[in-house]
Amino acid sequence: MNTPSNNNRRRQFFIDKPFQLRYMLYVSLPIIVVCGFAFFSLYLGIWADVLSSFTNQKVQEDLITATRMVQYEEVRQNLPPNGIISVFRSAEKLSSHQREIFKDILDKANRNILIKITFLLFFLAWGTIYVSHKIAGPIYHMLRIGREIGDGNYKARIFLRKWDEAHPLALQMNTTYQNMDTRIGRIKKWAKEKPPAEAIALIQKELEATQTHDPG
Amino acid sequence: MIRADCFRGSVRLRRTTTDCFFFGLCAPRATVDCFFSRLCRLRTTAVLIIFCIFAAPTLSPAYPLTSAETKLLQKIEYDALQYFLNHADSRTGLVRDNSRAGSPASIAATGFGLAALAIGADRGWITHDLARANILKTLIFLESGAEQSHGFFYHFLDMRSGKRVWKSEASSIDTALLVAGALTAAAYYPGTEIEKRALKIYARVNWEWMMNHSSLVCMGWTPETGFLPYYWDSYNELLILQALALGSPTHPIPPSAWNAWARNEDEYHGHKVINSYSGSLFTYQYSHAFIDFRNLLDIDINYFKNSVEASLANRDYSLSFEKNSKSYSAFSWGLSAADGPGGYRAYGGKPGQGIQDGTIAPHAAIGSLPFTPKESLAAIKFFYLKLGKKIYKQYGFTAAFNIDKKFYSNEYLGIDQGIILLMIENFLNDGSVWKKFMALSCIKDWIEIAQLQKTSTAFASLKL
Repeated sequence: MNTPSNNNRRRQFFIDKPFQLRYMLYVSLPIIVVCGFAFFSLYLGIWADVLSSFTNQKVQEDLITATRMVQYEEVRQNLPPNGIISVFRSAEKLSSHQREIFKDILDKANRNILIKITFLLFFLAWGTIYVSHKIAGPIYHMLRIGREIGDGNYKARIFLRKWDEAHPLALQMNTTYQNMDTRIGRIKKWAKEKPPAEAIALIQKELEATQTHDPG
Repeated sequence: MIRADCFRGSVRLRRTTTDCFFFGLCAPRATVDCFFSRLCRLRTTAVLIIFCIFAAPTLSPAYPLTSAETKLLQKIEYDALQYFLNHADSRTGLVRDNSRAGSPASIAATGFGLAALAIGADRGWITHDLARANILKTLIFLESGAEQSHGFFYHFLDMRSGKRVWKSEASSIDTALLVAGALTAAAYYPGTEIEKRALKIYARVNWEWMMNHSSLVCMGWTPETGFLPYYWDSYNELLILQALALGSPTHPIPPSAWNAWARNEDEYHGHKVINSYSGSLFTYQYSHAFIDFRNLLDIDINYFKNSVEASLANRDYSLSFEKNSKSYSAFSWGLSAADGPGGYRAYGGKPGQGIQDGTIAPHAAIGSLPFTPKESLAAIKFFYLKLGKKIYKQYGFTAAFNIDKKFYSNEYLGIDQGIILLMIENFLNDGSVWKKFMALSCIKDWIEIAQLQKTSTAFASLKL
């Protein structure tokens, strides 16, 4: 037995497959691009800098520079060279320098990603406006034309842009409006031009062909 | 009064006739083609009297150079300049501490570089447009891009970003050398934006803050530990720091600071020297690259004369090890802080610590050129002619050598190149750097505040 919730369940994943696939692409592609960019920028950026900063040559250079820095300090401060202590001080210098390098790498990666994310968010914002406009635009037009029809302007029609969605729906609605327009126009014409008895008969015949709720 | 002049392809260090007459310091070489020197050699009272009467404004050559010697010194100066052109960052203008790959920028080397560019343009080795552009670029970056605290720049900066590296200290002496270089460059281009910016950088330095409420200037400050526990408390290269700090138009240190540091005197081989702790020659040279101490007396101390004595004592100390080391000879001397076989050490002579292991820094003898021209030139010629293949390369003499240990450095240090360039320039070209630097108002103020006596006879006893 079907429960109400079961009645509302979507039984087919693809009701309009091309339409749905297109929208899946519209939504998922920017997200994939943004995430991919962010991830690879971060990953590749960090690793590229790490690898370039810690080549054998660079490490060797840093080791020599660390030793030199300690020697400079010893000379400046008139400290006697002390083998073991000097080595420890060099190691400390090197360690703090490497922390500086990592911090610089992360700062650089963050800066890069911030720039890229800003650009991608701008792109995403523009994309979502464009995509939503393809749906929101037709809905807006349909509501407006619906209101005009409701107010008695049966000449109103829905005109959509070439890339807007819901063209078949608009076409169908325009046909409906056209039929209503024709029928009411005909009734108006009979009421205006035919003798009253003939007009009533024609109108009755015309209205019997329509299905409506009993106003009762 | 002694003056250096460059003319007819040779250089003369010259003494006024009155100096010569009263102190008997006639030209030492018979080969000098100077009228006055020939007169002196006659050694007759009559001639001297006649000379003094009729030729009073004529000058005597005190140390004549041959054309070849002049050319050699010019070549060394020119090659040293190339270091500052090739090892400066194209965007920031900061100069590498040393020629080794991976070296950070040194602010002291950058200071020497600023002066070197102005001198290079003045010599005609680079265009004034190039020099002005590079100096201005560097000053603009120092003003706004280089990391500093209270106007004191960090000793070592990243070449590209100008950020502090290696947890280095905001250094008082290195900032002083940078400011000295900037002011020297500014003096070559007065009334330009270069001068405006150099003065701005100088005005920003809060020298008083660096005293840390003491009577002495601290060596440095770090964000991690605050002020270093080391102060400039005795004679060494601190003179330039004291001069700029006392003469500062914005943040001067109190006048009492001039008398707060010790002038320790000691003697070695008959040379009485107000000595530095290390006895390294650079301590007697750096301030003298900018300041002309020849005619300044600090009560009874003439620091130029002191550097002459220190240079001779340093040479004598080397010679005392002549039998034990192949490095030392009458022509091969110069103990100063350098990158030796065991790393960078404060090699030096006596009086002082007197650390030596046979390692000679060629820049030491060259830096003493204005003090001991005869001995320095002999060393320079020996280094160039006998050891040139091993120690003279792209930018001139490399940092150091040690014949005993078969060590010949391939490296150049920015500050070594700087002292070489400035001292040769002063020696060859009539003290051109001195003249410009001594004309600065801050230096005039310092002389007044420190109550230094100007005298034309203070230097008269020097054996040039």
